[in-house]
Amino acid sequence: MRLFLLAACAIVSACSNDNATVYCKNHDLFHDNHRDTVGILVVNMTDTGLLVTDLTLPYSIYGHNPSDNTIAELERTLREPQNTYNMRTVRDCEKAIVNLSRGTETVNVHYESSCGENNKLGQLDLALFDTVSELDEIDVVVTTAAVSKHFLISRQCDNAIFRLD
Amino acid sequence: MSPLSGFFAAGKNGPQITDTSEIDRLFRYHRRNIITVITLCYGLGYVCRLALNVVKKPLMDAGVFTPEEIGLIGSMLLYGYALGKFGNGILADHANVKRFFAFGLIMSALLNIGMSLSSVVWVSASIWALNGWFQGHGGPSSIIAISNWFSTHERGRCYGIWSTAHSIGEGLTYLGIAILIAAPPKGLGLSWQWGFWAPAAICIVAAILVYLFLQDRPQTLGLPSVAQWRNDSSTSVKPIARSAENIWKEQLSVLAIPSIWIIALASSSMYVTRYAINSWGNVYLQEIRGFDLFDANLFIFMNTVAGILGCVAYGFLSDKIFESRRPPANLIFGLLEVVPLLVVFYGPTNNVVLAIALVVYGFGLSGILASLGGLFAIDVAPRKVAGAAMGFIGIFSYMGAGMQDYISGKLISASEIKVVFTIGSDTTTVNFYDYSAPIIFWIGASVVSMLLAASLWKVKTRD
Repeated sequence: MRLFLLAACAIVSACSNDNATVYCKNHDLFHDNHRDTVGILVVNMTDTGLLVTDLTLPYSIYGHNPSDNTIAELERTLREPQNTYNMRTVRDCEKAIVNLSRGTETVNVHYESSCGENNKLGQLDLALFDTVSELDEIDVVVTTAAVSKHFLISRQCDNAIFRLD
Repeated sequence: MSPLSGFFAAGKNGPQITDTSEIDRLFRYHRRNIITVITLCYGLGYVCRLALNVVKKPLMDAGVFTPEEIGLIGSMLLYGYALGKFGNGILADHANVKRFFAFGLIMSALLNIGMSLSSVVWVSASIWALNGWFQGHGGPSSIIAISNWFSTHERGRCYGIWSTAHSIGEGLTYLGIAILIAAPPKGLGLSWQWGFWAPAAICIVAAILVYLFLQDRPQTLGLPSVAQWRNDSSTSVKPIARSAENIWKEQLSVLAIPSIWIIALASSSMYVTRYAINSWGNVYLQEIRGFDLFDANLFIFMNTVAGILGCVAYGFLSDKIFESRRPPANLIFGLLEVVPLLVVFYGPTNNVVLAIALVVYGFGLSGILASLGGLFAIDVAPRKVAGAAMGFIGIFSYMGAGMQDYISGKLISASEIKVVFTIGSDTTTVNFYDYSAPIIFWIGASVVSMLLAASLWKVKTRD
């Protein structure tokens, strides 16, 4: 059934039969195959100016049995919030709080940045793909005061992928 | 002197046909064709007007335009339509309506193609303003065709049939065009440009049908007037001769009637809400409620279909229950408009509740639309200047709708938070918006409309 759907969707999007386009447009058909190498990013922006970010990166992005040095280097990188995100606000924000924990299969980082009320966040820049070159895909949930969106960002795709069922 | 000449000018009378059976045959043939083609093709032409509404979200997601820019572009169509309805109404009186209507459809089609090629705000805004003007060809042409080919005692029915064209157009747009753009499996997942190409193709087909099957006055085909053919004596009453100066003075006197100003402001406020839901409702459902493009447009379509019943129900209620007093019916339908809106935006997130609320809203809105856009104004204005009153209210209404599109876009844009993922030299951006402020604007406008209409509770109807 999945192969049939893949073929049907490929025909429908026949204006471009590029593999990346098929991969991106029909990603829900491929996603289960590589969930173990996908990072997870949960961002919560409150209306009191608090930005809470939780990042989970699997060690498997480095392949089977990455070395301790590799993991340590990753942790050093993630301890610096600016390697993960940058907030563009009207006024400067307080220094971020960082809590990092090492799991058996993942590294988990919790960031909190307080920018105060009436300090509008216009843009949140995320540099994870540049900071962690082995990372191919992130599963993202961003919640603002008004809306919550769940999507994937992949190196291979120009746009965010929203259809995840 | 006619403002039109040549190709578009109304035709001269043809050699009179004397064979009664031939006259009967031609009238039956053309009347059937005309009511069918003006209903079908006005609806098809609507698709070229509403196209932008379906592709707003894809345009924003693709980074082609911001919400503020889209609001500006959308507002330009409404301003163009306001002026076009007025100006083309004057021109259509002098026109061969089959050519006039067909030309408007062809131009609208070409302008939709132009929209598909533009990603520059001022270019798209100009194109869409012109589209509004040419969209204004269809209504007057249809009304004139009805008045030329159907007698007084038939026109109510014909107008009612023709009025269903709105739903044809909205259905075709919100469902048909949505199917092209929506992602599989609900749609074909085509690019946003198809949201303009498909309407253009539809309008070209409509133009061909209009050119083939709509007709100028019966007399241009050698037929008698419809009043003579049907022996409908009420249409043979000659109007009292008035000079142009007197007509103009009487029409200007409309502006001195305070209740006409209140109705105009009430209608303008109501059009804010009407076009807010029609233009931004599907974007809201996608952005905030997480609907996909197809479902979002389906839900908006529900409210437009409910409107058919609302119009009919309003007429019945105000005539039969309230003995032609509009204010009590205005209040009831006003509440049927406002309360469901509160449920839509602040009520439970259950989709069944949402669907019911949109249906009730559409029902209530259309009743108010029938009143403020026509019935109430006719009741209040002197008979001789009812047309001018409706024209004045119409321009006010579409100016309100136009301002709404821009203001809504600006409010939505002001709330924007961009989440930008950097991947080398490329970026992937996801935008987040807060609709709190525009929602207050939309609901506030409907409350203002209801209160203004209610303030005329004691206004007397002119005989």
